[in-house]
Parts: sequence; C-alpha cells; structure tokens
Amino acid sequence: MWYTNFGPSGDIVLSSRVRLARNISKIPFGNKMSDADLEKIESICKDALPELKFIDLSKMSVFERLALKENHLISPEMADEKKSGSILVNDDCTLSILIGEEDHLRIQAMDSGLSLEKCMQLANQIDDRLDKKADFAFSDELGYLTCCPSNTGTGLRASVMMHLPALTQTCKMESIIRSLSKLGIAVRGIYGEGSTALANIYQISNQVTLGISEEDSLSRLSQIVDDIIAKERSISLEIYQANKFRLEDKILRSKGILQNARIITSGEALSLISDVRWGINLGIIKDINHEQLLSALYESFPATIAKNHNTSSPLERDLKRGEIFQKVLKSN
Amino acid sequence: MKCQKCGSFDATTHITEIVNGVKSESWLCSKCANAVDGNFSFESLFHPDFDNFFGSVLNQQKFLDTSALKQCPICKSTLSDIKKSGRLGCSECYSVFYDFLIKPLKEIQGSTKHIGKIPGSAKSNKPGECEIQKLKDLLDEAVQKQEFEKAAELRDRIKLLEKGEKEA
Ligand SMILES: [Zn+2]
Ligand SMILES: [Zn+2]
Repeated sequence: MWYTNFGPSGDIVLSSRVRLARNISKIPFGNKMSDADLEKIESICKDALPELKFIDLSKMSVFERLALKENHLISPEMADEKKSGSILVNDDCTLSILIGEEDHLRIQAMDSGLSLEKCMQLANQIDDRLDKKADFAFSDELGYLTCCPSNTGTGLRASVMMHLPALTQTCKMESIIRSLSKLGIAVRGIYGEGSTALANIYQISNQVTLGISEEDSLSRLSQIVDDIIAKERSISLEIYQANKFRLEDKILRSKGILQNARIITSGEALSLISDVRWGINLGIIKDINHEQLLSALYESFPATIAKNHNTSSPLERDLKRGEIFQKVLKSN
Repeated sequence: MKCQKCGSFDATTHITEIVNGVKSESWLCSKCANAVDGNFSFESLFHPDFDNFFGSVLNQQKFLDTSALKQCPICKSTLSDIKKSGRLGCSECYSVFYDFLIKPLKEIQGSTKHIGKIPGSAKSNKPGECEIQKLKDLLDEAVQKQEFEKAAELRDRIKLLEKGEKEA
C-alpha cells in the first residue's frame, strides 16, 4: 500500500493528504440528514464515479471499521460512532470519498512522502466529475458551504505528516508551532503522557479556507514544509556530530528491542520506530530500510492485528506485535 | 449497553484481559477501548479538524436575546444549537444566521471572501458576468490593435449588459 512506500523527502515526510469538503444543496448537513438523504447522496456519487469500490460501513464490524481508520480510509469519527455512512475507494487506496460525515462528502487523496500537488490533482479531478452530477452548496461570497465554518470557502485541508526527532529533542518545536500559527498553519502532535510529542510525529496543515485560493494554500504549506525539512536535516547532523556515541547507543538499543522483544505495546512500538527511523537517516542502521519499518508499523496497529489475526485481548495483540517486528525486521 | 469504564458512551468493543492469571471481561466504548490498547490515535492525526473552535468564538460574541428565537426554516437549527456544537445544520443556515456568523468567521479565517474554485452550477448561474468578461477581453484586444470602430461597438454592448445585470 501507498503508506508503506518511501516517497519524496521520505526521510522526514511520512505522508501527504488533501481533503475537500463538499455538500449537496437543499439537503441538510450530515448532522441533520435522514437515511433517505444519505442514500440519495450515495447514489449520486456511485453514478458519477462508477469505477470506485463502494463500502457500506454499517455492514462492518467494529474492528473492520477501526482497521479502515488505521489505513486512513475513514476518519476516527466515522469509525467511532455507531452511525451510518459509506466510502468510495480507488484501487490503490490513495483516494477515498467519505460519505455521510458532518459534511456530505469529504474527498480525500493521500500519498507517501511530500506529494501535496499530486494529491491535489487527484482530489480536484474527482471533484470536477462529482460537480457534473451534483449541485454543490455554494455562495459567491463564502464559497463552498460546510457544516463547520472553519472549512467554508475552499473546503480544503492539506496536511503533511512529518517525523522530527532532532527538532523535538532540541526543543525547537514549540517556537516553530507558535510562529506557524500566526501564518494560518496548524501543527499537531500525538501526545501520550507528558508534553513531548509521541514518536516525534507532527502534522502540519493549513487552517484558513477563506480569502486564499487552493493553489496559494498549497504552495504556502509546501514552502513551510520545505523549510522544516531543511532545518530537521541540518540539526540532526549537528546532534550526531556532537553526541556520536550516545546517539548511536540509544538508537541501536531501540533497534535491539524492536527486533527481539516478545511483547510490545503500540505506544512503545511508535517510540522505538522513531529511534530506528532516525538511525536509518543518519546511516547508523544499514540493515533495515524505511519501507520495512513502515510495513511493520501499519501491520501492527491494534485493529489491523485484531482483524488479521483474530486476537481477543490486548496481551495477545502485544505478543502478535512482537512477532510482526521480529519477522519484518529480521537482519538481512 | 453503556461503556463499563466511562459510563457515558455506548459500548462497542468487548475486551478480555488476563492480568496475573485472572481473566476479566469488559464492554467498552471505542474511545476507552483505544486507551486500553495503548493506541495513541496515530490515525486521528490524519484527520485534523477543529472540535468546537467555531462554537467557542461564536460564544464570545454578544447577541440580543431576540436572536435566540431565530430558527432555520429548513433544518430547524437555532443560534444556541450552533453555539453548542459549532456546526451549522444546512447551507440555508448561512443566510438565516449571516449577521451572527460573519464576525466570528472573519475572526477565525481572517477574511470572508472566497477566491478559490467555483462549481459548475455557480458558473452557469451567472452567464452575464462571464459574457461581460469575455467582451472586456475582446475590447482590450481591439484597443491594442487600434480597431476603434469595433472597440466602440464592444463598449456599447458591455454597457448594455452591465445595466441589465443591475436591474435583474
Ligand atoms: Zn468509555
Ligand atoms: Zn439550517
């Protein structure tokens, strides 16, 4: 799958995503619509895009839904609640149209590495084809009308997932987050316990959808991402030169645990993976590559394990996770 | 059945845990089940949307009491519904509550003028404007080529169309 591929600037950028929010006029938004409304929207989409695969979420088990979430095909909201909804997906799963979230349609295109333009192109193409069959809710002044006014206008949310261990370790992320928020760019981290981001993974996305064109939103975001990539690479080298043996020790220990542990929780796996990724980038680790690491990561998400291996307890899943990492990361 | 941990959401996940040889079973909501699994929602990062940011900005605005009575004729949303959830109920809400939305919208977006993509339906609703733009382009061309007779003719047609648009 695309998410285990090594994309452009893949040493730092895990993935890119572009999402367009669209609603069909004269039908209440997702929070207020009836089952009949949903069916009507589904039939419009199926009619406009017959080659895509249709998946009815209400016919799926909780774990199947959660596994779709882990593969980025549906949002956490759609996996969480016992509500109706469906998706249309393309063959390589780089495109999914979420039908019946708070907005009628969320067209999302995704790819590995820094590939915002490619994602935008795909989302745009799909939007054009839907536009021919559907009458979208739109106002000349406010643009595409959405359930939450923070999306109104272009309805565009472009985002990039980045792995930034060096900037995090040198406490530079806080000031970066502060200065980017002034530019209408949001930075999010996964926070476990404490205040440092888990696994050093952040998501950078545009926040503003009015008064700016899709093109400008995208180029502004790309430029900022390029800057962050350059900073991360140079600080990473500085840290390595200044603390060669300590850093090598830390990274090689993490590698050892990931390759040998019997029981690994998903939280622990994420932080070990962060170290190993960094080690690969610095040339400290040569017998594991990024794609191996990513495929182990995605294979070891809880619901994916539960779905693929029929495990019933967290302990069974943690054991399975240990097994997956041992197998995938076997020294070549 | 409610979640046995938080008690507030419907239980969707059955969890069997063996701690020190003692087997325990529980029904949890998906949120609590995720927490048990130590899954720090790697995926939620993928879908960045703002929870109730707009609702909180809207709540800071002062409105007259009478505005609370206003209701959208299509989806029946009231201003207090919108404040609570930060969400509108339908596209009509944008015109019904326009006066209340425009200030907070400006605050979170910095602008209230859409300058992006336009759907096909909006383009065809305004053939006049497209036509005028086309004529204006032709006019520029004519002036550059010093075709003054043609230019005067174009100017008259543009004037006529612009007048018609104002009346309509
Ligand atoms: Zn719960
Ligand atoms: Zn409404």
